[in-house]
Amino acid sequence: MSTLPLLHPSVRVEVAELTGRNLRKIMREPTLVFFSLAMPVIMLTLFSQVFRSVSQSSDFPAGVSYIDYLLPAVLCTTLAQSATTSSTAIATDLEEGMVDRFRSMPIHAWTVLLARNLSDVVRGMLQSLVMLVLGLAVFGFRFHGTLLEAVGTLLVALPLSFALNWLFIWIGVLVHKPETTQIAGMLVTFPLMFASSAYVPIASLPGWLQVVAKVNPLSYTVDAARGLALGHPDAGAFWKSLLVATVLACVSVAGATTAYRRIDR
Amino acid sequence: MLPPHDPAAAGGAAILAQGLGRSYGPVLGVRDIDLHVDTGAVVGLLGPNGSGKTTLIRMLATLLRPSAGQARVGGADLRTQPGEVRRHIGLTGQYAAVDQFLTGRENIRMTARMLGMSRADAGRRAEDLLGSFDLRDAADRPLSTYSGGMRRRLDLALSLTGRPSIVFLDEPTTGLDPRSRFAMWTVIEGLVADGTTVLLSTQYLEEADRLAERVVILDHGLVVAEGPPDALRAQVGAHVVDLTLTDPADGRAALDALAGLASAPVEHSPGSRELRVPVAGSEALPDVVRLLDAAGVRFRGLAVHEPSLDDVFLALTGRPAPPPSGMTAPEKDPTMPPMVTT
Repeated sequence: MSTLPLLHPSVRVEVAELTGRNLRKIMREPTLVFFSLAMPVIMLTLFSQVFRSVSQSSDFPAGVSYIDYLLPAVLCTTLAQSATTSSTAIATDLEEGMVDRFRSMPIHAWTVLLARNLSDVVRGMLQSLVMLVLGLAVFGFRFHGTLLEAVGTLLVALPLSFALNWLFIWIGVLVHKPETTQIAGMLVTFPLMFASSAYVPIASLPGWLQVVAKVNPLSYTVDAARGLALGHPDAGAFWKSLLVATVLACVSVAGATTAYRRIDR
Repeated sequence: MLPPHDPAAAGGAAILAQGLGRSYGPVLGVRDIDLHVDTGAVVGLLGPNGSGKTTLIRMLATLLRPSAGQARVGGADLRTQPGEVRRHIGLTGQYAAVDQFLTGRENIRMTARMLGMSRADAGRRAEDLLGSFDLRDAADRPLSTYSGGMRRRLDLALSLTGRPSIVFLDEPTTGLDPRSRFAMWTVIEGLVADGTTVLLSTQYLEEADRLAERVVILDHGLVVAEGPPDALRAQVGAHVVDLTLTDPADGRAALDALAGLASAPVEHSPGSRELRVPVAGSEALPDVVRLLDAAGVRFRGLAVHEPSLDDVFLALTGRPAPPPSGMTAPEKDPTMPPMVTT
């Protein structure tokens, strides 16, 4: 191949068409749109009330309201959660025969997966935006830093979201049953979300859980987003988060495309 | 556009399989499949559920990897050049692979774009296909409003979007009502007239008879017979007489009386009232009555009909075809009377 595969015109068309198809599919399923948007609202409401007392504990940063602490974290956990729908969507395409059609066409195998990922990134970003607007308008959230840091808060979880989507596409191709992928998704995301620095300071967790939370990649991303939102960026957390996302993306891209090429049923 | 198929590369054969087999995984196995489909020919794969038709088609369409043998499709090697094979084929599976959240037009346009057509060409192709598949009125409606027959037609339209030279149709009319089935046949006949090579699987002898110039019969993953539909008919007998005895004890006597008349072995389970007698033509009916009368065999039912897939199977394998229910239908209880499909 004379040009980089990513720049080949056929690749651009395939990715554009498939991404457009996935997004239209999401938009035309009103219940899916509703629940995708309702989920972050419910999470914000519940967590901001249930864990409010955390802000009185001695481990909590002084002078910070719980919503200012929580919202950047929920932006990250929502993206992680929304990644699970990648595996359900690809499993549905497998089950309904769409993947049969794609596999019998002279197109690149990986464009089907990349398009899946990109459309889910877009959906995750829309969820984040809804949550941010809601936090600002209803819950009294405010940014403590510069405008650039505020934008950073919104974007810092993107690499991890992209990487997690690849992981869940891999799981979806391997499991290839939509119902099973949902359970598999919860199994992965719940420990990621709760054994992390997302909702409470790590120091307030039991000892063994602190160990888990400190190596949990989501903690890095949450710390990076929170640092930006509170106006004191945490460069260490940012780089660690980026490194973890890069490694996870590389492994998952290889795994997902290999699994897709090996589909044999 | 897709490069044209070069028939010379495969010695005139659009599909050429030698010893093709698949023996593992969650699919029904097939063994030792030799298949030669000339460019422009229409070949029917006939067999009951579970005979391996779908496995064979999915292998030839690059979706399943063979575990034995080799094949060339459109001149390209199935094992080493699956990407090249995909440039020549269109596949319509047993279940319509259409996107139900897109409209009919969007489905075709997306497919056309991915096959390398410009936006303008894709739009024109969609318009053409919607017209020739009688979907123009429904073109901009979401697929949730489509009937089963319309979905199948759209599915076929998607398979033909890139003008493939070889089309695989896996039971294209199973589950369709008679009118939709007839419409599908007309579409397939149009394809054939355009010179497309078609490999079509079906459970219906009538369908294979109408559409295919040559029929390959599969049973338990093996080719059990092959030839033009007429030749198969001759093997089976032109007609079948179903006989219901008044007294099951007369079975032996009835068999003896009709042995000379039958054009193929008579099927009868001892103790049953039912006999199935292949005969050369419907004019043999009076002879059946006369012979039974002379032997003193009384009967309460007599029907003559065209041979069905069951009859073909009976003649070729000595046993009836499995019932057309689930994919893993158990062997039929030999004491049960065979199912009659007229």
